[in-house]
Amino acid sequence: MPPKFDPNAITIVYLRAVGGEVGATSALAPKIGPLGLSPKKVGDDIAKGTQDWKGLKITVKLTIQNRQAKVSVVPSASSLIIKALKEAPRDRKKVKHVQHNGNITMDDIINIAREMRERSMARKLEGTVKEILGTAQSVGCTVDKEPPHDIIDKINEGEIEIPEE
Amino acid sequence: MAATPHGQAQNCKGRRYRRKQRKLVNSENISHERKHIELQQWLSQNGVKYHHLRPANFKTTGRGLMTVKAYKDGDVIISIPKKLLITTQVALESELKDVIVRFPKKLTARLIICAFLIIEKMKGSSSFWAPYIRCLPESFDTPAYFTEEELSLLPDSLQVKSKEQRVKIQQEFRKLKQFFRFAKEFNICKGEELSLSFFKWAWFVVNTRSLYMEESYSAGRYLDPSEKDVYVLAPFLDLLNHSPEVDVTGAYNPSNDCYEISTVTPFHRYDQVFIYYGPHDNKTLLLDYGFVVPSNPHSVVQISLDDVVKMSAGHMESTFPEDYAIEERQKVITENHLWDFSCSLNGLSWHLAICLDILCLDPNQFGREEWKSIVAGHETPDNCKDRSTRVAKNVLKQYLEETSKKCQEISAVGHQTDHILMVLQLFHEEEEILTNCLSKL
Repeated sequence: MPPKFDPNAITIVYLRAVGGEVGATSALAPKIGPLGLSPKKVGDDIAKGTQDWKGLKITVKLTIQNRQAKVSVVPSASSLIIKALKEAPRDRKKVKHVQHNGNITMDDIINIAREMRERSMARKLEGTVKEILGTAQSVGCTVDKEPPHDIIDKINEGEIEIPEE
Repeated sequence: MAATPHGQAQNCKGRRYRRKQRKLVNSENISHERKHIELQQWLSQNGVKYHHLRPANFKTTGRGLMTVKAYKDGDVIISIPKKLLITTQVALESELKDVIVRFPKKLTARLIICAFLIIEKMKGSSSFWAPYIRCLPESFDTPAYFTEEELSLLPDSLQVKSKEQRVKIQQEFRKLKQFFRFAKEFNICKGEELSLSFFKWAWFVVNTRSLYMEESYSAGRYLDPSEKDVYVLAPFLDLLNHSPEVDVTGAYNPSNDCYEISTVTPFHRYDQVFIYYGPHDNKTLLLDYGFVVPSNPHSVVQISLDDVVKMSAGHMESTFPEDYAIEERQKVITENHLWDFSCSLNGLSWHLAICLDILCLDPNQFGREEWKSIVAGHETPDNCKDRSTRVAKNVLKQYLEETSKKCQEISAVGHQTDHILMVLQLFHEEEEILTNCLSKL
């Protein structure tokens, strides 16, 4: 008998999924079938739990306890940036090679950095902000109408100040 | 309750009175009992100063802890400092150390804590832990304490597990007896030999009351590596009862050196505080902790694969008189690692459902390996679904009949002890799950 509060009684599975869509059950089955969960039911649960992230590719965390799965979204820098761009949802099957050439504000970036603070290895919030700006560059959007890398340079030179936490 | 104007006039003592009455009916505060006062004093001398929990006897669960303050999401219910936790480290720093180090066999972490408890209990009131040990129950309600007659009434699977548990206790008892004989040379324990009932008490104290805590230091070289060293006994905290509905987190907090439990579920003032032992069904709870919870969402009825195969074979033989490849089908089931054949309040488990579908698939479709799409979670062909539903119904009906018979048998037993009532509750739960499943099909 394991003692009370045994963390090993819980299984955690990470999956990549498209928010708000019911994915193919055959992709889920090999991962969660052996745990005794119905891929169809879990697929529906994931679609229901990711309504805020419609059409974005996200990492989903399934916490499985004795045949019951709880869905939560693991935030990632790029999906948070794309969410902040507030693009109109589109059909992934029809529109290909989407370009994210929108604009977000510096406050958005700092909010995202705060959310990602725990998972970042940076010592200060400033470092996390720079990480997020780097991701923004690769996503292709601008920050305060400027290319993200210019903002990183400005932070390095001390022109823009980032709050401590 | 519909209160008539006349009735209101009679009970005009007010809201406070009614609330107090309700409190008295549901629970009885026992914090004034001598052993609890002593425990309380001992706790406060050792650093547990402010908390809002009082031991009380509850009608539904027996002894538990009542809160005198409302708790909301994120509140710490109680924290017990490190020096009040019984771990293997405490045992290894006590006078048992020499014996453990010199004893030729290695003991598991659980047995070391058992030995420590036994030694401390023998010391009586001179022990530092005496106030805690006095508050421990003398006996438990687990199947290991059942009489032979009560044991024979248990469900078969539980009887097997209970026998395994008894064998394990016997083995560990022999080991610890040797240990105590060896300890006599160190003048640690005097008097008579270790008795089985004494050992059983210690074993179940650890079994029912231990919490999970990973040790940061290494006592590994003195311990039997077959079992992980994660047991800890926390005084007072172990009075909390289990409920499957609450959500709490319990862990050792290294920043203030305390074992802390914080709640996610809010609790009202004067209600019992519950914690969550883990996702256990009622059979596990009875076997390991000695109680059952009404309407446990984790409870399942295990369905044996043989019964399903037999029932489907009868059905398939009448529909497809020619060969329908039963052996291949069974092979597919084992090769795909289907193991969870059960039904719960949510209906049939997924593994049972696809196993039925594989067994009832049309021989032609089976030949074309269409079972692969069923295992991958796609829809089953309609004709197959009809057949498998019918087979499932038959299996469940058979199980329901047996369970109802068993229920009547147990109700007819003359002397209804608490143990028998718990067993009866198990069977009633099973009946409920099966009826529920049948209505959903």
